[in-house]
Amino acid sequence: MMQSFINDGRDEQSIIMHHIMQCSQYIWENRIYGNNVGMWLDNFKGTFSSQDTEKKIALSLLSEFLYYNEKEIRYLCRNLYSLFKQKIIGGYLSQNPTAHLSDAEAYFNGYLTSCRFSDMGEPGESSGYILYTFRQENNLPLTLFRQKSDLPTAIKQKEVESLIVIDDFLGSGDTAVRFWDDDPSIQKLRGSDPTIDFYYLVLLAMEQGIRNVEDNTDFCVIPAQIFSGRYRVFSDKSIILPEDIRSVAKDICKGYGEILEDEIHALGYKNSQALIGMHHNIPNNTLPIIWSKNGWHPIFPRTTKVYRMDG
Amino acid sequence: MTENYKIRNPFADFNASLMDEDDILKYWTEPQVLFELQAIGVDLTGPNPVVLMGGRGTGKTMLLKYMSNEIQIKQFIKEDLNVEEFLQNIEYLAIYYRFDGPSLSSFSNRNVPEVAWNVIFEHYFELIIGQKYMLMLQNLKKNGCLEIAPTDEEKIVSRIFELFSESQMDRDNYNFTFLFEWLQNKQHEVDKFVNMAALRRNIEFQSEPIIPSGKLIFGIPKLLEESLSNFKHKNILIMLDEYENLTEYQQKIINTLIKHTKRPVSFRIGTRINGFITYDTLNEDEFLMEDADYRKILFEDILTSSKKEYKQLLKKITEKRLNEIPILERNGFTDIEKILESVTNEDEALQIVNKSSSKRHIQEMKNILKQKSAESMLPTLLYHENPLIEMLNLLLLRRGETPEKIKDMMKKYLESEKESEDYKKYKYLYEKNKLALLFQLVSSYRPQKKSYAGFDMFAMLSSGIIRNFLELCYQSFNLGLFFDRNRLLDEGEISLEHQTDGAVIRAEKFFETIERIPTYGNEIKSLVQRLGAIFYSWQMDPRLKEPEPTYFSVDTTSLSVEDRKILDAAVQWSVLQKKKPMKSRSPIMPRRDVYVLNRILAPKFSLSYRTRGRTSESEFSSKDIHILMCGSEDDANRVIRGLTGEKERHRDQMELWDYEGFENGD
Repeated sequence: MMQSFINDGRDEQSIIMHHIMQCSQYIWENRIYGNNVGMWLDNFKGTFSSQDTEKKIALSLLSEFLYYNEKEIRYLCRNLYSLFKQKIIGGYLSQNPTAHLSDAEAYFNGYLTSCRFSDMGEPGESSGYILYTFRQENNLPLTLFRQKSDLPTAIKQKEVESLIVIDDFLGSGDTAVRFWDDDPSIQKLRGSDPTIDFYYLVLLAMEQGIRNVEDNTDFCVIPAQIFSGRYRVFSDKSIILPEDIRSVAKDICKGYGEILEDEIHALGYKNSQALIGMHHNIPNNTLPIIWSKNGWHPIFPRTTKVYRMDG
Repeated sequence: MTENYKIRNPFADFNASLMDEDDILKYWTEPQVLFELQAIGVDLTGPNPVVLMGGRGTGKTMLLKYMSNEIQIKQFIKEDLNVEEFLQNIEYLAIYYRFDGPSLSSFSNRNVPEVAWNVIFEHYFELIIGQKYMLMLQNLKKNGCLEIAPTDEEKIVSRIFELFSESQMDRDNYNFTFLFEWLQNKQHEVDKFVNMAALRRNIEFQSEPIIPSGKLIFGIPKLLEESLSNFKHKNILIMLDEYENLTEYQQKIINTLIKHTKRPVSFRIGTRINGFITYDTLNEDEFLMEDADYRKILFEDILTSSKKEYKQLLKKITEKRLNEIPILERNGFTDIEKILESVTNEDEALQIVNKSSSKRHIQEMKNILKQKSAESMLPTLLYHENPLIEMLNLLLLRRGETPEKIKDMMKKYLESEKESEDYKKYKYLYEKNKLALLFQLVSSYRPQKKSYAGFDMFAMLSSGIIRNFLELCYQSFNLGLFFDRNRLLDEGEISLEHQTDGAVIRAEKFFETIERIPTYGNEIKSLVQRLGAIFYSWQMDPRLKEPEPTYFSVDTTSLSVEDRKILDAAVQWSVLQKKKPMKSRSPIMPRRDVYVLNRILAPKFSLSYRTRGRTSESEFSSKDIHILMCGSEDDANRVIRGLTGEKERHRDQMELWDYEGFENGD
């Protein structure tokens, strides 16, 4: 049984634990309970600092975990679509400064019919899941959502002017760059029509990842929410952890991270240092101590497959 | 092992104002004790007006809403009864209306003369109640409870129009719906005027006709009684909630209607304590008189004075909610008394002492005996099976009793020599002080804390306010579900720790809301904070003159008007609860009003949840009160030191057995 966290003088730790309980109840969709926290804390054996310190740091990190629940993901999908719409309408109005808003609206509706929305990965991956939610939330017709392999044919027939790739999380940007460089459908598209527009619509994006994608691809990146360097847990300007415990916290997370993953990804994929999760999955950019299952009780396990919200 | 699936906290919704009709029906539990007050002249469904007074969350709104015609019809249908017999079966028909503060306060500004506002509000109130009557009739018709021929309906509506001499219009349209819409349009005209009046000067109210006060309110029920046989001998109850939101002149208008109520109409007024700003009526030489013009029910008093019934009510209310959660219902965990684990004072004392390697209270006893050169007596004063006995012996030592005498008394008590005087005295002292001694014991074993757990304890902490009890359950369930869900779902129990944590959280939340009390929030918060310090200090008094002090008394006639308003506001918001005035010590001294700190705050200050005793320390002067409410930190600290240090001067005069006073909540 967990100890009483509040009774013993309402110390800092008990206040954090109470905060975590409230997060779980009101934001984290009751994904975790006290026993889960207890089991997760038991992972910290005092290997890289005293066990007490390790547990305190772990609790502090957990209390700062940024989780996007189902409602927020749906909201972000709607927000992302309106950002995309603003981008297209903004472009049209700058070309046609005397046009009315109703003209711009009509232009967008016409433009939309020549867009095709796609995910980036294989069925069951989170990008595919978000594509489905994105369509549902914005009431978009199924005809705008094609398999990537069908796209070159559609483009040949002059049906398509834009490819819009939808994704949930942009961390380092490597996946998007790889997709741009290696995906055969994209290769064909790029070859068949040089005027085609490529958009990369993403719910959550880290700043350095956006730069990577924009520097190395022709994607126009539209993020619904951007995480600056301040959201990297151990960066100098981190708003996640106070400066006085940042160094010891990094040693602990890196130490366990190296055991759980490897040296390069010990603090999240390519040292992303993210502390972010979503209703349908946890990105590998997040610290592995949160999600890894390699002989470890994760507090928010990362899954390889994701499922639709409605089912 | 219970699977990790989501479970709704059964106590999540507890505000009747936000509940729809189905929720009211679902969660309704009849507070039998309130319906059985005829013996003292209060009949909730009868012809005499009744004022339902109580703090937030006592259940006034739930009761009034439940009695409304909408819910009563639904209930009838739910019970599968013949709706055609509804009117025959019910003694009364009730309409519910809740006064909305902001919209009422807009019925006054300088752009319109006061006398005009009076007329406009009277007219407005007629329109509101008129609409409510029409909605009730439509509701009765729609649900098949009232069959009425269109010509009869037309006649009734026509006669209603005649009540205020409205010229006859197209009578073919006359029906309840038509009249409702007509009244609604007239109300919109008033709303529009009220909004415009805030912006324009010299604006005139031009809507016509103006309905004089009482014409519809009393006229429509009388007409219905005359025209419809089903309405004969039925009381028509106008239930007005949140009366405290009305301004003074608005209350005068409705007070006048209450004073001159005409059968079959009667009023039920729901209000917070001190919610009547005035008891005056529009006639200068008349005012509302309790018992003559209305009966009053003070919820907290009724509920807490009948503790058994109150607890039964709480059990029934919670049982309904627990039954809503399938896993709890399936496992039979629907008895809140069983779910809330409890502990006796003796067991708790034992647990606290056993958790610590150093026996601090015994060390203290040893020190005193050493001063008396009687260290060898220590083993004779110990009783490890019950540390509270040892604490009592410590208390008696502090009060100057000899170790030998204490030893003899304890022996007689433990050996149950019931005829002996020592037995009786020791037993009396033990029973009276054991809870206070437990608080003292816990304080010497910090960081351990006194538990606030168990059904009886929660019922006490709730201070007669049902919502307090539900909130305590809500917080405990939250913690139980998060930290110890297997125990809750598999064994149907919430631990003492999580209940205590829940009570602390609830106390903190209650405390935090105090500063939001309009006008006097900061002063009341200061008072509470400082009272907490004073009561805690008294509770820790080594000689324990005042075992469980959670109240103070003051001669309110000596307070300034402003200070009295602050105290009234504290009572209105149930931060303090006013008890019957104490008899003065001398016939020439004024009677002092007694104010008890709401027990829900006890866990915040580690105070007892009971109210006992009567000593001079709890008598505050008007100056003390003023400083505790409005004074600077320095001044307040001076008063606190004075009030708590006062005890030092009384020590030597204290008698070992002296104790007279009131007990409330043992």
